[in-house]
Amino acid sequence: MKKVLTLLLTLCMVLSLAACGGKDSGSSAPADSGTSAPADTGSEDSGDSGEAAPSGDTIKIGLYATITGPNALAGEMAEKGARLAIKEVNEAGGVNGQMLELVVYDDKSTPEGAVRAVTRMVDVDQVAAMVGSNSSPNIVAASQITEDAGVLQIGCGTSPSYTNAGYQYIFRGTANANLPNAAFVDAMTQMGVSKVAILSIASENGVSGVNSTKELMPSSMEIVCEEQYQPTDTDFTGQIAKVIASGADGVILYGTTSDSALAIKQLRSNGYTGYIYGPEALGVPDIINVGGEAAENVIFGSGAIIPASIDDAANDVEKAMLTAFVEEYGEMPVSDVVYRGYDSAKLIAIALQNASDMSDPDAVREAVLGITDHEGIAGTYNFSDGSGDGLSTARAYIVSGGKNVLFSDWLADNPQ
Amino acid sequence: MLLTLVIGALMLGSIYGLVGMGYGLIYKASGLMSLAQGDMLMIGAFLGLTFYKILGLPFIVSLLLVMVIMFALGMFIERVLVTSLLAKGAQTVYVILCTIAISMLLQNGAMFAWGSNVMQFPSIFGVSSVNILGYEILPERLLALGVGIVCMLALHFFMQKSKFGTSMRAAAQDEMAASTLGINVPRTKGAAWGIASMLAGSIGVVVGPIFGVYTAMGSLIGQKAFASAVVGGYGNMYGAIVGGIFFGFVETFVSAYVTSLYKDFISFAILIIVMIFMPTGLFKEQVME
Repeated sequence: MKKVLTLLLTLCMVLSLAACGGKDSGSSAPADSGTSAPADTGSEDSGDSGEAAPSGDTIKIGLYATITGPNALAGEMAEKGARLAIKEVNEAGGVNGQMLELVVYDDKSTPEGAVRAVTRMVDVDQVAAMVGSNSSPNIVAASQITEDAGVLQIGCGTSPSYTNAGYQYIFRGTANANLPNAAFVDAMTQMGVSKVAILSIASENGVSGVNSTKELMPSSMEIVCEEQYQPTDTDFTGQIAKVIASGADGVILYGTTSDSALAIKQLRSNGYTGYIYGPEALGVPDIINVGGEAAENVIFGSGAIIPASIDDAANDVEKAMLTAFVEEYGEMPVSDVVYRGYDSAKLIAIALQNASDMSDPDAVREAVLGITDHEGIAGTYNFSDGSGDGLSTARAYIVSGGKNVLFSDWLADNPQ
Repeated sequence: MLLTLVIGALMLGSIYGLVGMGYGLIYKASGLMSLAQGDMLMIGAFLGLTFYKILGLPFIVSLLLVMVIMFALGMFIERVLVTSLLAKGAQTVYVILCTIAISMLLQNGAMFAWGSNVMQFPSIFGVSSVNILGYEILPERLLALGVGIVCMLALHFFMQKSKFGTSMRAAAQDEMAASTLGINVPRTKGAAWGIASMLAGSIGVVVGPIFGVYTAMGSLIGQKAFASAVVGGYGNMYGAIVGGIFFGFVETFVSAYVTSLYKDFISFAILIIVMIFMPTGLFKEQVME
């Protein structure tokens, strides 16, 4: 018996050693075909139909995003948006007569994956510029690689962390997360809110969001109640009873989409009838789907949102893009990350077009700084201040009649 | 504020209590432990959503259908999976492990069938809130409380008065003696598992409109229900109810008056204290084997 056991254990050990060896050889060569190849070849294949066939004359544009992992839906949207933008640029004659070719990598929703993907794009594909991930920590992780190589990167993540940080070649193709907060605080001021209750999730996102919101609040607003809940909580009776008892005339809800929907429902069912304010998490279609009628009079700040129909688009660029998107993919996009991919890819094309020398990093940077009035989906981009952020305002929206409506339009129709 | 809190606490308490009763029932009837009770609640909620929202059946029909299906599912787990494990001479710990595996299977199966998003369970009543003594109360909360009380009473009379209930209690006390008296012991065991999952499933249907329906909804509720069962005296049905209501009150009132952030810390700290100082729970139930 003992002998058999020893034999088995030895066998196990040998096998596990063998397995480790295999793994090591794979990960020690990140730029090797082993890891990121599937996403790469897959996308290239599907891209061929829409774009010019890759040849020596094309300009390679990279993209890495959360194609798989918990945020897969958003990553897919970033890719589809960028692909559409590149297709439009090529149909309009490309950049200085050269066609663009999109190279897509999956960062697997992890910083390590991002480092691997970016290394490969810089060293192997030698892309002219790249669209950065929709996950900000992934951009931060890969920032040094593109900075050292002098490759332009326009990111799709919203976290304030990677702009205003001294990077030379990293910019943002969407709204900085501080802007939606400012937008809804601004809406609160316009609504004349004076006593605020805050209900937020006890996580990094909630804590930093609430802190940034507090800094933005004017002194006329008094915080009368501040409550938190755990990400796993399903019942907020205690917190909500306190919020209502505080007599606040405006409630800030700072959480993720699913717990926010739950909190909105419970706020309403416990008798809160006032306005609920919050960040872009409240702008996801799920809030209306899950919250139903309870979601009425929810006011949120967001760079851009997917409207209920193409006709409800916030500006002409968005309307044209959505029309093209539906024509290309047969359905409306499901997340605003699609706009980030689209705006970023368009900005890259403009920068490359205007650069005096596409292969000179400083000329490309100058060209980005020279973009002062590009009408994108999320707003008018102006990179001239060198901070890396192109947008200075986000919009506020209100849920009214089961749809997200621009707050300014709604306020004009319903003066307070 | 106080009345809202009390109703909220009673509702949470009856959820924990009913799910906890399932733990007690399973333990009493078979001496085993199922850690999939919380996920039974989740499956019940999804099934209820499917019948009520997608197929458009009346609520009461949906609830009854869910109860039948959940009973069958619980019975299946005991009769097919647990029995075949025990027949192979598996120890209790393997059966518990098996129920953890079932819990994972149910969660991932639900994700496969219904997706990973939170789904909205439409309101059961036309009105969004009823006014009691000047307080706005969600009618679904009262329904959850009502279903909880009805299930508890029904189970009490079933166990005490009906013939099958009596045979279940007999089988739980002494399997061998019960068998010699002509009681079909395997059937009573299967029924106990069936009833346990039926209880969890039916409470899932009524909490759906309050909490929303998603794959992870059962895991924390399951843990707290388990804690309720332990505080009440593991294996004692009435203890589970008292334990559940105790936890409902602690959680709701701690979050309203002390700290909303660390309410689980306090709830589970109480659990540990109870286990140390009152290992048999409030109802002095023999837990140790």
